[in-house]
Amino acid sequence: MIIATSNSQLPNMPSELNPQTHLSPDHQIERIAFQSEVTGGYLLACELPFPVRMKAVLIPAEATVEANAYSMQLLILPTGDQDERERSVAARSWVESGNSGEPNRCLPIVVQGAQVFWSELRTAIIAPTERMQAVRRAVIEFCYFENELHDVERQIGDRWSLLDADTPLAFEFQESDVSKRKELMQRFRAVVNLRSKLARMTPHIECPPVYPPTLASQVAERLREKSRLPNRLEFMREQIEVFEKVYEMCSQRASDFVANRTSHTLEWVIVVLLAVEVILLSVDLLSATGT
Amino acid sequence: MRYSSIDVLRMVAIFVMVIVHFLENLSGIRDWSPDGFGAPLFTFLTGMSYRLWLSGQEARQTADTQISKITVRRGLFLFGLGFVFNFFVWLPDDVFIWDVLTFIGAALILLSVVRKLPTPVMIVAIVLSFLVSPVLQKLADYPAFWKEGYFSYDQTLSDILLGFLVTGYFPLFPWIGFPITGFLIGSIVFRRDAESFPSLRRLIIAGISLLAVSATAVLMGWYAPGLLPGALFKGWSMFPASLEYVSGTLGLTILVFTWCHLWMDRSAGRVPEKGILQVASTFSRYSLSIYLLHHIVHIWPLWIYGIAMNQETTHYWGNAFSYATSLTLALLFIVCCYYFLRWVDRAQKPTVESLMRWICD
Repeated sequence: MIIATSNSQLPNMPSELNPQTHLSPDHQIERIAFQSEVTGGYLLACELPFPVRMKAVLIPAEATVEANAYSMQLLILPTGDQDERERSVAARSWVESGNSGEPNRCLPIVVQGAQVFWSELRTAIIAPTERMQAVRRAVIEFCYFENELHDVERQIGDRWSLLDADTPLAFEFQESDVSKRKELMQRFRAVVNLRSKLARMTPHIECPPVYPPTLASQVAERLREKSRLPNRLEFMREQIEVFEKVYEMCSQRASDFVANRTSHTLEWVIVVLLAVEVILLSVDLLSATGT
Repeated sequence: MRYSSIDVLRMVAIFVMVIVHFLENLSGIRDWSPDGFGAPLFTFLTGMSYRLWLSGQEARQTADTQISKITVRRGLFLFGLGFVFNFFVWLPDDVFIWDVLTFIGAALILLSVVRKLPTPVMIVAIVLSFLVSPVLQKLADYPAFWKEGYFSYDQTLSDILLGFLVTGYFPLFPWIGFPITGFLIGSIVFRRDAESFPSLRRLIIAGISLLAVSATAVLMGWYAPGLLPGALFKGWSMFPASLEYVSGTLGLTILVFTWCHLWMDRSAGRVPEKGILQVASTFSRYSLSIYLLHHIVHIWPLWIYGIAMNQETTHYWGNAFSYATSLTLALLFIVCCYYFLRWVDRAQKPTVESLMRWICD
């Protein structure tokens, strides 16, 4: 589905800076979101590989997406008669301008005459028409995984202070900490979810080079390499391991404490009952002695 | 941190105690209706104050062994003071009557153990201390120790121990249930880690339930005497403390405390600090001194006057003044005591409380 054509105006872009004016008339701009199911009458752009179970869908430019849901814009420029340099500059300029009007980091790659300019929210592809679909699919997949990894990095970054606060509980759990069990469980669950997310991404980020190589596979490899996805994935694994270790120990301490407390309570009840029995016997004995 | 509810309730307990003792010892009046409510309130507040003191020590990160040592020392101090008090006020023959001071001393020592128990165990201990008491009273032959409404014992080890456990004025059973309940409720209501005020719904339900049990048992005792087992339910009686009395006074104490806590502690500024709270705080802080002082002030003159008149030392006990005079003297004592304690406070004079802290802490 073509959402914006060459005649449409991009939002928040002053006309003198609007790179769209330099784009060739045959360009397409697509807005893509990722959903588990295709809903709302949107068209399927491509299906992400198993086991991600997500679908890239084309959504209208004016459609609102859920808060925190990732959506990106894709500029498709088939190679043609226009000056190649001018086309590249226009595409790069469009990517860098971003949605908010502020320049974004742009990652350029050139492979076998195809060019890709990638940033977090916008990506431009310049490729021959016959190879465009394959490259487009590779770029969409990369954008999805990069965004997912970025999300994991952000979440882990936010959790360090919580981990610092929870670390003492990995060593000792007390009565006053019982009320924190639910929070600890939620944090442990969140960490496991992040680990599972990473595990599902790993085969697509650390996959070996495809043989014989294709333009799409080479684009994907270069994008992964330039954005350091495998390294970042490894760092995340190591960091999540720290979280898992601490929360596993917290969970163990909490379970041990609750189990011990139950048996401890039972033991004390028995002690109290025995004490009462001793007192009953003592009073009986004392009163008999007194008589 | 001082809680207005505790200060006010302790002041009420002190007022009841002073009036009851003046009326009883100077005029021989023993059927003044509130006389059974002072001691339960006082012993309940002992447990609650201990909880607050403990929280303060924990906040200062005092070592657990140090807390135990201080608690036991304080308990022994009060226990010993109780004997000294009995010796000098009630005369040597009545050293082992097991008055409230010896009880509070023993209760403090027990609380140093109880504080480490899980909540369900505390509840079991409280219930058992109440339920087992009628059985213990039966086993010890409680009525044999009480002549004309006063505790009387032989100077034998068995009688002394039975007095401490069951038959004295304030024996361990069932009275130990009051400070433990105070400690338990203090742990719930004054939780340090609570971000908001804990709900008091369960406390109110417990208080009403205990009152209902007591009222039902008392009414059944009146209208259907044979229906309840007589060994367990003996009607409303403080000596021996019957199940009806214990559950009724505990229920009332819980409800009164809950109401005071809601009304005073949770709504700062509702009661002006310069008025009744200042009076309550003064009486509350010097409750031990008042306990000793009011006895000395009204008992010793009786003994001295008896000796001076060539009578038995206890000749004028219970028949010195009329009801009105005794009541007036009690009220006069309370007023004078307040101004005396304010002076003591201002002049930083030593008191029994400061002596206890100096020796034990």
